[in-house]
Amino acid sequence: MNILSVEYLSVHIHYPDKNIYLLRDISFTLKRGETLAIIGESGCGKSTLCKMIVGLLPPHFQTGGTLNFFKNDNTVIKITNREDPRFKNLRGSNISMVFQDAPGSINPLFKCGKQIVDVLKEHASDSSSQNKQQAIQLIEQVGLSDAEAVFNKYPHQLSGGMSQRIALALALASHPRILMADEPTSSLDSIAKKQYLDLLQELKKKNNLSLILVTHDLNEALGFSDSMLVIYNGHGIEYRNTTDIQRAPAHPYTNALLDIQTALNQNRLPRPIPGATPSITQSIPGCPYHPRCQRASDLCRNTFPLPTALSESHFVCCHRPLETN
Amino acid sequence: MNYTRQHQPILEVNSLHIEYPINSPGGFRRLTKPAVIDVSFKIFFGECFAIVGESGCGKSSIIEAILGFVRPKSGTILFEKQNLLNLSSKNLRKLRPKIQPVFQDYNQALNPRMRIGDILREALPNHLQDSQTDQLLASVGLSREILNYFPHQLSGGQKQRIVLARALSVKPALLLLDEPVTSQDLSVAVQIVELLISLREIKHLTFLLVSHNLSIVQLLADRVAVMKNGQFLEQQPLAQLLNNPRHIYTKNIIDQTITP
Amino acid sequence: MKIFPFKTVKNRSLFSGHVAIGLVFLFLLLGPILTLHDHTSQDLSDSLQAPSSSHWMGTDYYGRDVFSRLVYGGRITWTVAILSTFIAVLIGTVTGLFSAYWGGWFDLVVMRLVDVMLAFPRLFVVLLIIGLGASSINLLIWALALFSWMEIARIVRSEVMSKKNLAYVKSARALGFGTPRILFKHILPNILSPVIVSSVLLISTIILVESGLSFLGLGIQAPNASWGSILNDGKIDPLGTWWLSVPAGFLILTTVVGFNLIGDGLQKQFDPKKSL
Repeated sequence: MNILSVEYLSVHIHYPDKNIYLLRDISFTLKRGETLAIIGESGCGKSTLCKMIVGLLPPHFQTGGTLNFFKNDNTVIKITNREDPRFKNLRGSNISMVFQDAPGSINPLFKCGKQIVDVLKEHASDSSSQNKQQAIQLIEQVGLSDAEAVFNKYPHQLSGGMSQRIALALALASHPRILMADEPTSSLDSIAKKQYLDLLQELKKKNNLSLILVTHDLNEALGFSDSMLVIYNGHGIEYRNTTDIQRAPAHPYTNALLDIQTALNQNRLPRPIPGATPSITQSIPGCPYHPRCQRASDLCRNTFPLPTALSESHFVCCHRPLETN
Repeated sequence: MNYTRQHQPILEVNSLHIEYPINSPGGFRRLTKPAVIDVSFKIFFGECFAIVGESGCGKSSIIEAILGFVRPKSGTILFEKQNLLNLSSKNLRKLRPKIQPVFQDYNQALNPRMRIGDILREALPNHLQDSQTDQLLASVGLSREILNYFPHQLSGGQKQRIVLARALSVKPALLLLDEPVTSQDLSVAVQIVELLISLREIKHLTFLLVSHNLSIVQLLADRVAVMKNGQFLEQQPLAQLLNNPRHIYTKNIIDQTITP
Repeated sequence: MKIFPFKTVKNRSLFSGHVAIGLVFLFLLLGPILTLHDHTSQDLSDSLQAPSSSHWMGTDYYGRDVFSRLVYGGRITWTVAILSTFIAVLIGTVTGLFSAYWGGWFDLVVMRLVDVMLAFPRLFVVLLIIGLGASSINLLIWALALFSWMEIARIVRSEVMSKKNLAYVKSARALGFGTPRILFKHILPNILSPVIVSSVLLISTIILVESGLSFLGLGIQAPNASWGSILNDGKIDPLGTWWLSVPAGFLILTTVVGFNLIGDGLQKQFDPKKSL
């Protein structure tokens, strides 16, 4: 059962002489209770996609495409315009977000507990004593011991890892159905990273969440997601369930990334992808990956590959995809 | 490089203690917090010695001390048999080019108001500037057009390559790599690691690598020290460390490095 | 960053500040061509005339032409303000740079000196110095400069503190570069924008202080004029002899507001958050 489906989403900025596309033709579906990993290198548009979905883009960014939110009774709310008043109502109650700079997303002037209570109040009609209980429960849920003490602390009194968890508690306080985490672990080292991801997994089960995990760490995506969307230069180049993508990637870029990761995991020196990631302002004719692709043909150099469905729930943007059987 | 030098330490750190002042409530007493406690190690010519540990364990403080940015409380740092801590500031400045750092934060590593060409030329003697910059660029795999760019026009990988080229311009013997690829994308990180490996061979460099990412350390290091709370827990050749960690914490790090 | 050429026009305070200062500057530049009268020559028979075709802005008690006094007075006011700002910025930048970079006792001494000097109200200290010394334009410039560098020093110091531990400064030290090179080539160019903003604001502050001093009779001495002293000439009957007080006051106001607008505008212009 789907909870969110995104169709042909695009974001661009309009300049007098040209349009710069930050995102193009992004399509994916998120199923109830599943984790979708959005993977891509820095600057590829991952964060723009998150901001688009939670409606935080600056006003001069132009958007296109459709967001379909599925309610519990399977009715669909179709958002095609981000000025739609229903869109605002969906945020917070339906979808909430943990930001990359988690400590920076907590207001330093208020105690942690009060901030969580504020969110609870906004989204529930209960009495305030219950709110405090709930807030303490949330703090416990995100794996902080001595929740009562943390409730009364200011953000600067917490360590980096702790404020990361408070940010998570804040996101959960609105009882969202979808939790979006934008590079939640990029500032953590390997041990803390594993613990945090395990926590996310546990919370997902406990609270019946669907999770969108945005990351540049392929291991993280492979280990913790059910399906994967790979973004390159603003294009969603491949979308499929994680096991199959790992077994048989169709896009040469996905393949190259997987090769690198496999080699690293086996303590071998990987063969790097030749060339460099293009910046989003560069306009590349044809397929954006063709300058780095060994399979590139004249077709790739001249025409942009539109997303094609290789099977149900498997999209790829490539003229010459790899064999997937 | 000749055979006899290979078995000599280029850098020798003996019982290094580093403390940082911290603010006490009221500010009357001078409180200090130990960052590095009794650390000793040797790095031999041509090898890559790695220090692995969580952020905040004190590994970067060791690099700061070797560079002379932090004054240790006690201990000695011998570089080619000279104690860096006893040198006059004039002699220290003369010796500095021999030890070059590469920092994690590649976005802050290049002066934003200088063109790449000027950054590379700055440390070169006048008559060599043009021929040397070309060689430097070639050695890090970049083309000449980049010389006219400003740092913000480069990608992360290109910036880190320029940092390397600048470090190489003064013909160092020892490179201090402080999380050199940690904040890079994987495909870029791999390119940089490959470049480091080839540079080490061609330019006869010695590396001190500091990182929390074991999968990168595995690719470069010959010997590894594991550090926690300012202390070295163990020091072993890489293969032995991976197969036979002596300390439970080391085992944790190896196990927790996520593999799907 | 050159994708938005229209951004400068969007910055309204910078634009209007430039217009105001540009107009006053044109007035000071072209004034001597427009007037036939010498600004110091007296004609007692022509005392306190209202504006007319021969004296566009009337005359003062001694029958001197007010228009040319405004032009030459303004030139003196501007020169004093710009020169003392320049000296103050120079002193402030150098002390701030070294104070932050060296730290230790030097920093401690300089910063306590700054605190002490900031504790005295500038106008009164300068008043005292000028009152005790022989009043001359040079003394005025130095007195104003020596009591204006402290804010700049503080700004420079805090900016340097935030830059000196960045990787590119550390790398420059590791390459063996000397302190002057690191300070002036690697740190200074990267902290210039706040310094420029506060220097522009300092010009307008100094113009106010100088006008105040001259109004009190302690700044620019007769027969030379300054806007403050012309304002003073009209103080006995400000409404009756409005051509003495209003134009001088208006010029001071326009200049001060103009420089403040430029300062605010530059601050917005330099703000990194503004760019995409």
